Amino acid sequence: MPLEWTVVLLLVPAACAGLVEVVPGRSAVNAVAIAGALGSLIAVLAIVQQVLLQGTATTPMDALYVDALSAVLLLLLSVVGLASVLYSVDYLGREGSPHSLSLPQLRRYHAFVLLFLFTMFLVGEANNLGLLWIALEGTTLVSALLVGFYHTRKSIEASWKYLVLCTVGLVFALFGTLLLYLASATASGSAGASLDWTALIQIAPKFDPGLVRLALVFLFVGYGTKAGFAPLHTWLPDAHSEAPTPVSALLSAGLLKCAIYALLRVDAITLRMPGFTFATWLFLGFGVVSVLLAALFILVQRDLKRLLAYHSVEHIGIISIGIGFGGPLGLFGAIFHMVNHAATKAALFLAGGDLAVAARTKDLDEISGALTAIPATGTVLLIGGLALAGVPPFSIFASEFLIVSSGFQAGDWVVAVILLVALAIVFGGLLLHLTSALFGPKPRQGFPGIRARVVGTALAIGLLLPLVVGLGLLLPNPLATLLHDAVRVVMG
Amino acid sequence: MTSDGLLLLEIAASVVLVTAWIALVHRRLDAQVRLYAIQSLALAVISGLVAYLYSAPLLYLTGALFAALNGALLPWILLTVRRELRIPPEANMLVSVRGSALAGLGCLLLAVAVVGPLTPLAAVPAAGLLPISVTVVLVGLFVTVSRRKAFSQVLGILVMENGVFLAGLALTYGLGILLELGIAANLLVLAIVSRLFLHRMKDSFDSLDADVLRSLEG
Repeated sequence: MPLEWTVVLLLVPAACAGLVEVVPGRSAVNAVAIAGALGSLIAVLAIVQQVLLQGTATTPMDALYVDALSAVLLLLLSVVGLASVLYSVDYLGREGSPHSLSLPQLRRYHAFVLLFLFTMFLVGEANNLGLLWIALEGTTLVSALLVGFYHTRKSIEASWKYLVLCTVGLVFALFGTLLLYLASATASGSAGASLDWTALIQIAPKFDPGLVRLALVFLFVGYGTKAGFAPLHTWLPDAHSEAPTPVSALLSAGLLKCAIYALLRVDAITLRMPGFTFATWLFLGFGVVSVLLAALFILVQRDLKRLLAYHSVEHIGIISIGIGFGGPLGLFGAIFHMVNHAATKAALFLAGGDLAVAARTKDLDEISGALTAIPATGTVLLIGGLALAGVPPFSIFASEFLIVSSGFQAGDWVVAVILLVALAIVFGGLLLHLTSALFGPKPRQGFPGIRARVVGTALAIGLLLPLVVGLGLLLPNPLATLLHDAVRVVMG
Repeated sequence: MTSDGLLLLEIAASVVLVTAWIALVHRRLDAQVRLYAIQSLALAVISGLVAYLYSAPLLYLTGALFAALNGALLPWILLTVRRELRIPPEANMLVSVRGSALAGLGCLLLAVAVVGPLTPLAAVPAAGLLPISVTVVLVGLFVTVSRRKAFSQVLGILVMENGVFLAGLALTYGLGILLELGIAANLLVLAIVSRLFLHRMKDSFDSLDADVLRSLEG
C-alpha cells in the first residue's frame, strides 16, 4: 500500500501531541513539538506535490480529500504552525524565556498546539461537510484551552466568551449543514443522499434554491462567527489579545482561514446552481460591514495585540468581498489574500510579541523608538506594518489590487469604492500607530526586557518574511498553478 | 401498528417541546438539568421510533448512544459540577419568568414562520418534527443569552444541540452513525472543557456569573 500523505498529516501532530507528554526534559519536549510541526510541513509539501501532479490527494472512498483549494489551506496552516512552534520554544519553552512555563505546563501547551494543528488539518482534509463541522468545533474546544492558558482573569474571560460564542455559532452551522443535507436528499431522490462535498458538487444544479438560501443563513452566521465577520466578531479581539502570542498568530493566521475555507466550499456548491446569487450578497454584505467596522476600531485602538486583531477582522472582510466579487480574478485575489494575510499577520504577531516583551507593555502609547532600540524586530514590524497597510510591493498589496480590480471589472462600483475608502482609513490608522512606536526617541535606558536567545524567533520570522515580501514581487510557478487550480475548484 | 408508532412519536415530540418550555421558566438549576435529561431520553425514544417506522436500523444505535450520553452522562457531569462548585441552586435570570414564558412562545412562532413552509418539501415523512426542533434550538439560544450564570449558558448550548439532533432525525434520519459519534465526542469534550473553565472562574473570580466577565471592551 502506498504511503498516504493525507493520513500521515493527521498522524504526525496527533502522535507528537502524545509524545510531548512522555519524553523527559524540556529540550526533548521542545524538540518533539518542533518535529511535529516540521513533519506536518513535510507531509503537506508531499500532498501539494501530489495535488499538482494528479489534481487531488485522497484516501479510499474519498474520506479524506485534498484538492488544490484545500492544499492552499494546508500549506498556509503548516507554515504558520511551524513558525508558531519555533517561536513558542523561545518564548515559553526554555528556562529564562520571557513567559517561561513549568515543565508540566509546557507539555500541556505543546500538546494543545499540536492537537489544534491536527483539528485544523482535518478541516482542510475532510470531504464530508459533517466531518468538516466536527473538525471546526474541535478547533474551538482545543483553542479555547490555549486562549485561557495563562489562567489570568482576563484570559479566562476571553476564553469563556470565545467558547460560548463560537459554539453557539457552530450549532447554527450544524443546522445549516443539515439543511444542505436535506437539499441533497431532496435532489437525489432516494437513499443516495450524502454530505460528501464531491457528491454535493455533482447534484448541486438540482438543489432547491429556497432550501439552500435558508441553509446559507445558518452557515454564514455559524462559520461567520468563527471567521470573525463583523458584527459577529466580538470574541475575536479578546481571544487574540489574551492568548499567548504564538497562539494569537495561529488563531489569526490559521483558524480564521479555516472558517473562511468552509464558506468557500459552500460557495463552490452554490456557484453550480444556475442563477443563484444569494451567497454573493452574503459575502459582500458581511465583507463591507467587517472592513468598515474594523477601520473605525483600528483608528482608536492603542493595544498592540488588539490592533492586530481588528486588522484580522478587516482582512477577513477583504477576503469575503473578494469572494463576493467572484469570477476568476476576484477568487484568485481572495485565495491569494488568505495566504498573504496569514504570513504577514503571523510575522507581525510574533514580532509584536517580541516588542511587547522588550518594552514590557502592549500599549502603543508607551512605546517609542523601537526601530533604534531593537533594530531587527523593529525592521520586521516596519515591513510587516507597511505590508499590512497595503503598501506596494508587498504581497498584500498584490492580492488587494486583484480584489479591487475584480470589483470594478464585475461592475460592483459601490462596494469597490467602499473597500478603497476603508483601506485608506486603515492605512492612515496603522501609520499613525506605528510611526510613534517605531520612530520617535528611544527611551534613555533602552528597552527594559530585551531577550538574549532568539534563534527560534529568527527562524520563525525568517520562514514568514520572504512570503510577506517575495510573493508581492514574484509568484513561484507551483504556487501560481495551485492558486489557479484552487479557483477552478471553486468555480467548476 | 404504524399509527400507534406515529402517535408515540407525537407524544415523545411533545415531551421534547414541553421540557424545553418548563426548563425555560423553572428557577432551579438541578430541575433544569433533569428536564434536559428527560428531553434527551425522549429524543432517544424518537430516534428508536424513527428507526422502527422508517426501517432505519442504525438509528437504534444512535438513539442508544444519545440516551447514554445526553440522557445520563452529561446531566450527571452537570449536577456534579454544580455540587462541586457550590453553585447556588437558583437560576439567575436577566429576564423574568413571565418574560421567559413569552419568549418561549415567541420562539415557537418564529420557528413555525421560518421552517413551516419548508415542511412539505421534505423527502422524509417525519418532517413534521422540524418546527419543534427549531423551537428547541431557539429556546436553548434564549437560555444562553438571558442567564447570568456561566453554568446556564452551557445548559443552553446543550439544549440547542438537542434541537439540532431532532432536526437531524426529522429531516434526514440523522447524519449517520459515524458523524453522530463525532458530534457526541465533541459534546463530551465541550462538557469537560466547560467544567474546567467553571473551576478556573470560581478560583479567579469567586463568582460564576458571566457578569463578572466584563473587563474586556472595545
